[in-house]
Amino acid sequence: MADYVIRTTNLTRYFGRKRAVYSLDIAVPRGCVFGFLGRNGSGKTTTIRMLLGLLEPTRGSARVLGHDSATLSPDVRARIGYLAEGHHVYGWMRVEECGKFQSRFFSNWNDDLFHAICEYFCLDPKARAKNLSRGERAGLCLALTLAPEPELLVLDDPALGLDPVARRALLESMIYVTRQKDRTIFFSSHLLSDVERVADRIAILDRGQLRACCSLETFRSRLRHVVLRFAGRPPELPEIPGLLHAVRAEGEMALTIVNYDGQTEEILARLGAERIEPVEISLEDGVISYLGERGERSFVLHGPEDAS
Amino acid sequence: MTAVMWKEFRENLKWAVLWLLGLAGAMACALLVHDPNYWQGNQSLCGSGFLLVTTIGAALGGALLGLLQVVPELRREQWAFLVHRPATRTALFMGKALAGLSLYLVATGIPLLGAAVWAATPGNIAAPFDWRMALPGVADILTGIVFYFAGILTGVRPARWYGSRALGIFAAIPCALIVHGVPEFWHALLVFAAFGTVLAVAAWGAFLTAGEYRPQPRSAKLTLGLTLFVGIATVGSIAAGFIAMISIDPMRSSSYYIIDKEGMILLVTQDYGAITSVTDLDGNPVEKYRDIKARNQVYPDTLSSTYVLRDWTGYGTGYRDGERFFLRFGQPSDVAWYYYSPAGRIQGYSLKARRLIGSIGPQGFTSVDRATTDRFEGELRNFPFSLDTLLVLPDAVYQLDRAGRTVSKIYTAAAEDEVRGAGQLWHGYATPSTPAPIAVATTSRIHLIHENAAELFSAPFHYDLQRYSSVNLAMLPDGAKFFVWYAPSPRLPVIEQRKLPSFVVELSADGVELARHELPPIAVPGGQLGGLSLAWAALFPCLLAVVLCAYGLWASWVSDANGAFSFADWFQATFPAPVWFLVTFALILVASASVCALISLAIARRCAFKKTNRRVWAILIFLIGPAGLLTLIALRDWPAREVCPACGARRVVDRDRCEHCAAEFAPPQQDGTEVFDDGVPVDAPP
Repeated sequence: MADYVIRTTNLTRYFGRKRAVYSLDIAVPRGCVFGFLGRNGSGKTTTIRMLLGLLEPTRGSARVLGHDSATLSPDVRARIGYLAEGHHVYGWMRVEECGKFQSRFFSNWNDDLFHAICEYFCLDPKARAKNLSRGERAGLCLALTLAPEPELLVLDDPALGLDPVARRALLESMIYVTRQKDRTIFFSSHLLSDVERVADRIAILDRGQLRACCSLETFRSRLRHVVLRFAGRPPELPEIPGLLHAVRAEGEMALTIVNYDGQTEEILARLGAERIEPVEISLEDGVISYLGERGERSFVLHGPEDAS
Repeated sequence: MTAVMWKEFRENLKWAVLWLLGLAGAMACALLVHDPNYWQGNQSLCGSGFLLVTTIGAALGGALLGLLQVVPELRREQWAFLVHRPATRTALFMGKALAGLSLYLVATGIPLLGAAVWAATPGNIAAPFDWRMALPGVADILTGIVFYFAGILTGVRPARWYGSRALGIFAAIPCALIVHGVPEFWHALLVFAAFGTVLAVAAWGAFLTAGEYRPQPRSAKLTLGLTLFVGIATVGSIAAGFIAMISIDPMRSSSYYIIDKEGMILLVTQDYGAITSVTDLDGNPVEKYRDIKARNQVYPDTLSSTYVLRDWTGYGTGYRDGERFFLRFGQPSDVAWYYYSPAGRIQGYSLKARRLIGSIGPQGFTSVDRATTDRFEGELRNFPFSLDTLLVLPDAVYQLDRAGRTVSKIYTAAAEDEVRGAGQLWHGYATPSTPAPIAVATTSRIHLIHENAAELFSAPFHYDLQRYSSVNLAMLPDGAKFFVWYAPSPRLPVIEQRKLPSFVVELSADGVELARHELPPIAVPGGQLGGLSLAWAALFPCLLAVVLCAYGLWASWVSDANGAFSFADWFQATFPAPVWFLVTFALILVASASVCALISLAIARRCAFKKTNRRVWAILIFLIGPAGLLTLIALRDWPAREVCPACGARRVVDRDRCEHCAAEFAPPQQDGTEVFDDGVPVDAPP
């Protein structure tokens, strides 16, 4: 049986009448880098807060490192590193004071690692946290999160607001962590290129509901982008299972379809296209299609009779 | 925990220092600003101005520090950074609270200590100093701890500021009021312990769950409920008091007896501050006061009297009263004189140098630089707030001559007898040739003494002192007649006091009884009974009515042994209203309680409480009324509801199964675009 670091069962959270997360079932295997994707307000941060016991689920439950997330003991918390979006630290503390403060809580604090990451991000130990740049603060937070050498690293949009150099530094630090045996990273992000670079598996939330939870390869393989070339105007589209996105233009129609299979091929063949051309799709394009507005858009110029 | 304490110290030290400086400044103002109308002793640590500073300074300081420690940390990421670490929330709370309380005690304790040291240092206040005078300030600082936890609770609870969030602070207000009202310091400690425990547990519970109600421990839920209830009751009482203040006219009709300068006993009735009638004891209008203008002459015509005997227990002897430690003698001129019980001597303080100049014992004045060997013995029997220069002790009465710095014994109690009280008759009628005599009450007699210690007369008490322990003496301006006025003891239950008549015994100049007059009890006018009075019934808790009636039954049962008053008497005195009013009041009370209980049932049903919980809440709210209903509304989370696809009824979303049909929630709707790995058994049991 697979060893899961995180498992949620019917995890649901309401804020008043608003449903933020609905019946979420995900499983994160040990040792993987798990990308948690979704648009703003889709419930990613709420899910992470429930996983860490910072927010009580309205119903359902989550187990993290084999323990109920609502009652995580200090020992279990010591095994979970959490980097919240916004990279909060106490502004009045100096960099070295931040390290000392944090180290008092962790028995397996790796001071060398803390200093190494601080040096990597060129942090002055005497600098006050409030005077650091956003990237430097992210580096400090990452150092504070990684120095206890957590088994599970939970990162909530860690690259938010960082410049490309800081982002790259952050990614490299994450890669360092995954080199350690049995370390798991669960991270949410909007930067799909970063996800593509480091993630093994992804989950996609859409308005609080889980739409995808699979390996990166599976997601790529299930998504198809095809361009249908027609001699004249493309015909009206029939019902196509898994259709995410259709763009109609003069003499052609571009379709993004998920779970593309033989039935889909048959339907497309019946449209009478001169050619059906498969097009390579990046993860970024795929996820944007997946999360964007569904349905058909048209770039066909209107005829004179329509214009009148 | 120590790391959290260190962080809290660093973060909040600036606030503590700021508060320390502000409080020290306010205390200095209260101690240094001299009001010539007040006694020097009043300016010390028991002065009203100083205690106002300690009360407000401690309460406000505690509440603000509590709020400052949690409100800035409630931002989502900051809260997560604080609590997601290998420490229990209880340890984090303890770290915060210990640091906060230490800072609070430093910020409030150091100014109080400084004030005490300053007041105790000779040359600053022209009055004796007793370290127990700092206890009221200590009690206020302890009350501030209750406000501190109220501040944390208020800060953490995710309610609306204009809703139930500030109720924690309001719940601490009764603590401050009770601490002010209790007679002894240890009573104040008990009140602090009770309120402090409830507020601390409620704050701890709220901190554990970031204010969410459902996951809190049971003890925290209970204390939170109590806190909100007390807060709501406090807000309600403040509102009721305000409405009463603007709607009830305090200058309503009242009557009282006087003796005029001709020795006539008169019943004066006033309405809205104006005298409307002056009658004799038979109810006949007095001719000379028929005219409206003439009636205003009643006050100047009134014969002044002096307390000879009265039970002063509780007057000026509370732990917050300076009079508990030393008694002042007369208005000070250049020297203020105090009887300081621990020294057993009358001490004189120079008002200019504010230093002790010496003291007077039974053997006379001794300057400060000489040792004293003699002292007055026995429990002081002076009346508080008296301007007399008499020193009343069980075995003797002394008169202080402030100018000559001597005391003279003017009365010595016989063996087996003791002095119970004394007072100098009104000075206004005295002339240098006929100084005002002094009345001395002993166990069984009343003695009239000349200043030169000669006894003018002695007469036995005419009534039972158990019931008539309040005895006044007045004399006609020419000294030809004396009046001994016996009033019911203030120690008796109020209802019994109101039932008993008063008596006036006329005595001749040599103490021979001339006449006795019975003064029937005067009915206490009730309030204006109308719609507003009946409206209170809707807010009144049934339980309080039941407890009041139970108390009445018990009091009348105890009193029945002496035949003092019955339950009917008690009821009439406690609820002075016509029967129609009482019946309507009771009906509204029960109707309001029933409506509240029904609403609570509807709420409990809406929130899918268990059946037992529904009943408990309904009974509780029936007993405690609208305040209980508001507590329920403020206390509980209100889960959203959705239509159950199985039964069509609205079900709460925080249960796994529908409370009506036990159906599970439908899985998320799928539209065929979902992508899941076939091999990951996400729905398999872990």
